Amino acid sequence: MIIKFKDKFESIFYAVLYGNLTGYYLSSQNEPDDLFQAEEFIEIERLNWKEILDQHNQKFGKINWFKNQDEQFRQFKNTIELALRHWKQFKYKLIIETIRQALKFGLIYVNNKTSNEAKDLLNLTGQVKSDIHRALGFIRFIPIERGKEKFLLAYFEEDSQVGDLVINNFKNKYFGYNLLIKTSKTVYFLYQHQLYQLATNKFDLQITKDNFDKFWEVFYQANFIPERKNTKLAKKLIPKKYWSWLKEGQIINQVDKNLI
Amino acid sequence: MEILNKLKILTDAAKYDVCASSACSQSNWGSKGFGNMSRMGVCHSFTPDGRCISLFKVLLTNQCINDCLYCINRKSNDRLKTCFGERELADLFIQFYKRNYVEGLFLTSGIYKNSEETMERMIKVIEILRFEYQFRGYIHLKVLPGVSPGLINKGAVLANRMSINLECPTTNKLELICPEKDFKHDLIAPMLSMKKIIKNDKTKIPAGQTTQMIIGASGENDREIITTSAWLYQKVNLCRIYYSAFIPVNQASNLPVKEPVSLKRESRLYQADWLMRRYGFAFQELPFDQTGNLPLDFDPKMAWAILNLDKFPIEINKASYRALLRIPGIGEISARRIIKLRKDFHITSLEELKNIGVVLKRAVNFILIKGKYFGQASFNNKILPILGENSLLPNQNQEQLAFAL
Ligand code: SF4
Repeated sequence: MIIKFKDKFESIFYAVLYGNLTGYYLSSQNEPDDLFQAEEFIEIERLNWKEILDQHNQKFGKINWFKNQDEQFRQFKNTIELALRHWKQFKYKLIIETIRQALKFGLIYVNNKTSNEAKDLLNLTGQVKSDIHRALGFIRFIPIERGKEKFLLAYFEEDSQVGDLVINNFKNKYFGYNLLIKTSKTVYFLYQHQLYQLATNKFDLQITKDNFDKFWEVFYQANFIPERKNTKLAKKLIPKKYWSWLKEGQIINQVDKNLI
Repeated sequence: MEILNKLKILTDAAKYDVCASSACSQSNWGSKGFGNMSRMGVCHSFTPDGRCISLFKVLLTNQCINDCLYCINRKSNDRLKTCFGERELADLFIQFYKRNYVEGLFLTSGIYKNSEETMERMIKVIEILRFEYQFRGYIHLKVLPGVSPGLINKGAVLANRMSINLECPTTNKLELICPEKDFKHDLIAPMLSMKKIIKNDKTKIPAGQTTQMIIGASGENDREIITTSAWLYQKVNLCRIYYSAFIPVNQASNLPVKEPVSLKRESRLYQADWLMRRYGFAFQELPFDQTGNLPLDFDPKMAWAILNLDKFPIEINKASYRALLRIPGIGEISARRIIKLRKDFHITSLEELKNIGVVLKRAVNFILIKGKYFGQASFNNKILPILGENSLLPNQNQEQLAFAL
């Protein structure tokens, strides 16, 4: 038997509890299930969570941190919700194991990366955070106006699924603008303060660059201090996956070849 | 002149000012309009030298009445001089900001005619941004030498951060390379004005004031620099001091130093500064050598630890937060994690410490875990492998070191 959970903290948490009670295997609804096609499954969403918690409390003792829901709990929940956005499938294994450790040793143990699994999970979360942070820095908007409405459009390639968080972060910065961020899979569209998510293949919009690029290029090159040249570091800080729309990649390469 | 050319010249001339921070937790500039503040700061790109670009950093003009020997904008330099119009600059900045190229503005300038008039024009640029564009994002305004308290106050209402560059640690050193500037009157007095403004009104200059020193241009040593830094942090409440290794961009024959200063020296100064600001080290504890410089072979915390072997090894499960911070390889985050964990657990293994974020290679010789030492050989011999054959340790402490070896 397999317990299927949704990619949400509560769903996984109760699935882990139910797994502890029954010994069943756990799997995300988003995981490819070719391996277990023949297996029967239960959706954790359909079960009574309160009953599961009561039974777990009786059998294994009270989970105080879940009852208190304090700062440590919020930190833990946030870690798991961010890790769920990571593109690697082995996140599920890490999340499940870390919840089990939290049940056994408490939240301080996992929040401080004491075990290898907790450390790996927090590293995944760190990568998701870094994807968000880089998106906030590396996204380049093209402004357009239609009548009274102002739009900022951008293309961005997301590894982890972070587009909704990124666009929300831009909400305040570009107050008064409608924002559209297109990725290869999803279009995130913040229109009149409402966020819409659409499949990219169902959305016919080409984002063409304006010629402001040349101002950026001049500004970027003028900021370079040749005496401090360190292209190795620059390449590490602007990974290659961003080079398709950031001019910097080409310039760094030219500096490397002493052409600039 | 075409605006693209101006951009090129006035950016190129501003690049030696190394401050790039755009972090500010609170805005002093209303809730209407656009632009916001980021608590963390955002890097929008990295130059081929690896520095973060987060601000639109430009000069209003590269004309200057002064003749500072190290400066690319000095009046005797035969370079193309130009100037942005106030509106032209404000418009250009907004175009950069809208496209998410930058997180804010860093406005500085050479001194055109005199400091007062140039500063008025810089403030005009910011007024256009704040009042016409309703821009409420991050602005760092450079204060020009000798500017009056009235103008500083005007800038303090508009800017998130302000700074005046000290360039040298003492009056004598400044005289050597900036003959027209008066250390106390032109540089320290504006700093004290800003200090007073910040103290009296928390909404003004909410991201605080900073400064920059050019390292090595006047032949000063690290002790002189750090002495002044310590004074600035304590007495003027500066939130940050930037150190910029001297690069000879001029052929001025009377420059006291003609060679570029190593980036390692710059980095050691940042580390020493960090130890004072964040790790509770007193200025007197920093490991200067007989020439008054920090050792280049070791970072200052490692050098301090080696010179204070009697204080080690430290039991990880008992040490206070402050004591943990003094162990090489343990930073603020890992020290905090250790303290939190210890409430419920004993740390029992090197692996746990590694997971927490401790750099074991650096820490292992200075710690005990539940009374057990995992370092190399006996404690007295433990620094041998770290030192290497060619290490130069502060001469004045050779004796102390000999004991350890
Ligand atoms: S006053 Fe400033 S801009 Fe003018 S020469 Fe001196 S350092 Fe350069």
